[in-house]
Amino acid sequence: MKKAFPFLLLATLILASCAYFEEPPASRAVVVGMDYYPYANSLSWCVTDAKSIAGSLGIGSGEVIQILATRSPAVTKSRQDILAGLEAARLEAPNGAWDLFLFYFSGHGLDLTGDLVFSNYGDGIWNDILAPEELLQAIAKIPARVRLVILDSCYSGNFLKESPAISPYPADYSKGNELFSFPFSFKLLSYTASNYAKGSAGDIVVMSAAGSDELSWEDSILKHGIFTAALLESSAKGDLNEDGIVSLTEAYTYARGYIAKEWNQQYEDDAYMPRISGSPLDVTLFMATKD
Amino acid sequence: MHRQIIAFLSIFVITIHGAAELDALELHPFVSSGAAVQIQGAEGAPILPQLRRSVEAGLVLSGDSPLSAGISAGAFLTDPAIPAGMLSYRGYHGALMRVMADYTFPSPSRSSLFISGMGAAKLAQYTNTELAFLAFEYSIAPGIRDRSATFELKSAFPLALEVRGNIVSWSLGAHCTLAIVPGKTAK
Repeated sequence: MKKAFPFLLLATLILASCAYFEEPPASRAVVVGMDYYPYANSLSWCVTDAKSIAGSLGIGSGEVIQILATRSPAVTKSRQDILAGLEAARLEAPNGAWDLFLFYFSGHGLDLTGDLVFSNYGDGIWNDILAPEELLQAIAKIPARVRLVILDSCYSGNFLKESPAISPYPADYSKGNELFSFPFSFKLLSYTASNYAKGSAGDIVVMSAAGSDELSWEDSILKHGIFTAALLESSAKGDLNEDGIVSLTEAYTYARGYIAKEWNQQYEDDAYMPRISGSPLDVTLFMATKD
Repeated sequence: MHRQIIAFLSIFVITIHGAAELDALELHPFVSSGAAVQIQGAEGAPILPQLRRSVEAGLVLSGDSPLSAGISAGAFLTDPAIPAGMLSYRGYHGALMRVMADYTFPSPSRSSLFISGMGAAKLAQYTNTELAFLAFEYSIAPGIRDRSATFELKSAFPLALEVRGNIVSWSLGAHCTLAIVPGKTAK
């Protein structure tokens, strides 16, 4: 019996691992598009952004995508609707956790803070917003192996909690790369010394359309936000290592190059650059499609 | 610069072995290259392997004592992990600076066993992003050194621990070093 024990243990481990890999990944996405703002300038292509992203995601065979969108006064979306969507994702997590949870937002971001803006904002009501801390705290409660946030809104860089890597670009990208500057070296050293341990791979991975002091734009010719258009195009052109999947990092790389070439060269005064948080984790975003 | 490097390396040797041997010390250049398989895990994420390669050039200070010390600078590249399910780890690359101390076990032949302790500071960027970070690597490497009239070839198998913030990764690999040993004659 003693001799058989190692074989039994090995067989159990093999069977257990097979059971793990046979289970399809169960992923959840909450996708938000905000075109209609009765008290602020309405946008035109955010709902299209949200629906296109939802249709392109390769987030697994067990995916559940909840689209929250408003295009007219008939349907408005408030912060409560978004928080309810996040709470549903928390409560409905299978076997304790989603493989991947994705939150996507296309709409207005508030000046300075980057707070996400919803339908009822304005005309004396100023709290129909979601601040970075509030949104990230709500998402952190959702059980998932990795939580991903993608934002196509102005000042969305405010949502990035960089760790363990930091960006050498300032809040306004047009001020240039500071990688080899003294202030950045000092920041890197001080970050390493004091703040390094705060982040971990278990944190939320964030990709934003713009820096914390930059605007994000949509375009009537593309019929999308520029950043979202770039992300969508990355599913066909962004598979850098040609392994059949477009990872978050690959999509980011493609989007950064796309905006630099297609937008910033033409509109220097409104130049912006997507940002990504410094987690070591990478995530499959799209299954690569043929161009 | 040359004197500063000698002074820096001498700290290791003198501290551990005494100043009496200072006159016998020699400084010689070396190049090294190696590869390692690195594994890392994260909270809720799978443990995945990544291939890491590096090339370095440096100077080593050695004498008649079994102890030697060196310093090197170089570049490294860590490939992205192959995805497991939907998750993977980013690749990164950058520059490193390393200090090392070797202890060679006495041997009657020209080949001898040694053990090396190393520490390295790395300035790295995640590949295809602008994100930069500092990492620190600590390693211990047993190996074999083979000495001829003008060259010394070292084969080592470093076991390394890399720390990036609170992310820790381990690696095991092989490293080859070729050093020029001017003025030495094999016995």
